[in-house]
Amino acid sequence: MKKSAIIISMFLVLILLVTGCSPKPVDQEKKKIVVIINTNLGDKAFSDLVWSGVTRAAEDFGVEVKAIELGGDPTRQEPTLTEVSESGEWDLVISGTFNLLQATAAAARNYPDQKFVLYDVALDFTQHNYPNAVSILSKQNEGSYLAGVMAAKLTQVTGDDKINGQKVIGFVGGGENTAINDFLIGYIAGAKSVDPEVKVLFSYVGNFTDSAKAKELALAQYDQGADIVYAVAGSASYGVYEASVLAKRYSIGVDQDRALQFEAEGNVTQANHIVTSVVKHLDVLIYNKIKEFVEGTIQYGVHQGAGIALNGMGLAKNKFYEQFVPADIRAAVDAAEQKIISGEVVVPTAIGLSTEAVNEWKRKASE
Amino acid sequence: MDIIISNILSPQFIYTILRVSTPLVFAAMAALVVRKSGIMCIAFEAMMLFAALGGVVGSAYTQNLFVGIVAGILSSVLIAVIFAYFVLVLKSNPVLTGLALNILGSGGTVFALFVLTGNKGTSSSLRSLRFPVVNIPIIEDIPVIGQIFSGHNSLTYVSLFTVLAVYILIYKTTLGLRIRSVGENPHAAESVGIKVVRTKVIALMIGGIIASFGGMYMSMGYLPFFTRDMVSGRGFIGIAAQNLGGGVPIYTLIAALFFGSADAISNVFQTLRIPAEFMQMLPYVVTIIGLMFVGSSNKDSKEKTKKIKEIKGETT
Repeated sequence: MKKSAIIISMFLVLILLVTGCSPKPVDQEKKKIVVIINTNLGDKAFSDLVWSGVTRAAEDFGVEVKAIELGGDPTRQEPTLTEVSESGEWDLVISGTFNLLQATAAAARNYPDQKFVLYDVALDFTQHNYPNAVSILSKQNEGSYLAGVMAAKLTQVTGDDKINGQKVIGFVGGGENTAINDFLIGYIAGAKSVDPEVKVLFSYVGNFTDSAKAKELALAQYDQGADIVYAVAGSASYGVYEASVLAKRYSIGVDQDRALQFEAEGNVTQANHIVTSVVKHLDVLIYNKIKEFVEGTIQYGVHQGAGIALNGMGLAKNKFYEQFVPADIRAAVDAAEQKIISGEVVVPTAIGLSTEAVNEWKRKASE
Repeated sequence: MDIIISNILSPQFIYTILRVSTPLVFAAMAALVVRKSGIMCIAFEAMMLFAALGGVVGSAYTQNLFVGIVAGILSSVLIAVIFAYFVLVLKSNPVLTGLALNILGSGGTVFALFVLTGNKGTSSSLRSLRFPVVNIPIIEDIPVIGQIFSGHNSLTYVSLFTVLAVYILIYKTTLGLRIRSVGENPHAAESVGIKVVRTKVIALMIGGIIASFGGMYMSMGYLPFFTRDMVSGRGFIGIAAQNLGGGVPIYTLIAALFFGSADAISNVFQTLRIPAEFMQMLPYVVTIIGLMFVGSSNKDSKEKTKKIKEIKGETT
């Protein structure tokens, strides 16, 4: 017993000595960037989108990149970020999503010499000035605003058998949280800007996985007169797409170009019911940030909301969009886009909004 | 509001209830058979999830619905057998084993999906098959009845027949008698030569087969693809329906339909400005209230037997 304890402690001392002696990497030529992925690569969605931007930047600017996948394990967040920051090995740490916000913010406070880029979440610069970090967030409300403009106009066209003549459109969210309500409020604002009489129905699944429930919610909205339903519910959104086929109506996808995805998978029937998708161009945002970093023009200590102006978000203007949306509506969407870019229209956001104010928007939706 | 009320009062809504309730009926019937054999099994979520994925994968790679069904049943029965081995042979705690298998079901299906398709969210890239929709010849032309009962997915009809089949199995066959006796008093059953473990394993496997249809309905009927965690608690609602129905097939069916209606109503009412959380809570509140009634009626009968024993002069 005692003997083994001595052996183990000696072994530990040995490890300390060996690791203490290991030389620091000396390759100073190439900038080294590490990307912390909260889940895993290969999800054909969010993480892969981020990684595609990173790898493209790596090729174009000759930087060395590495991904660390946390597999969705919250207990690995703090240790990984601390380890990465402490090692001093990386010139830039890219991390993101709401899940990693706490851990990354703590690391940025504790290691002021380490540079950080946070995507898809906002650092709270009122609490700390984070001179070594920058956060970028796609403005989901702006993309949703365009979807609202498009839907409110499309629901009034005649001669399309997927449109029913009632001024009602729908929205199915995953769970009720600030991010989802940001989508919703943008959507309502867009719809009401076109025609205040357009009614927006909205429901929440309660989670992001129950695709069958999402289907039922969408079907209930189609039954109540909606002809275009916007799905913002993670993988449960697939239930909404399926409902639009069954109800012979339209749906609007999210995050990725869903119509092209279904078409590539050989499911043209499904693609024919997804009029457009609200796409987050996270890859572009991250690519641009790496570019700024390499060129030395990157600004720290700020939060950047990347809306339509910075190409952070937009509608998927694919062939289905061009086929189903008449030219005058497409022109109206483009005009709304220009108004947002020029600052003429400021899209309301749920971020930082009180519950009462959010409820006020919801009340407006059903007027 | 008027639209919503007229929607709920339409025959179409009863049609919706049947569609929503189908996976619950399967889960409840599976729970019933297993419960009759005296096993506390909560692994139906895992069985249904694996069956949902197995059916999709099997039918996608062979383009044969029958192979898909077999694959779905086998994946579900596999979970049932693992459960049986741990609980009946290794004598592990059934609740913990069930919980562990449910977690395995959630993670394992995503893992299998990723290995097979490279996608972690959905199987939409697989060209899987779907159970056909059935229009019943004469009934479909009858105005209201046709709208309610015709045009369902074939598995919805299978779920209703399952109720009858389970009734016959439990009350009219030798196997059913054995399952019941093993469940009520394993020692007495053993003393008359019934192989207790074997009977329980058979009951679990039958439960696995029934649950597999609930899972396949999710991914090959209700929806045309598998999405991660798509069973979303329906296995548990099935167990609750079985309890609410007091282990009687027809009452269990009614309980499952009851939960299905609560769910369907909450879906329609969500578009009103009632808080979403309230409507999402509704099916579960109904479950709890229902279980309270069952619990209090059980308590009554227990007190009754106690009184009878007191009158007879027996000590309890």
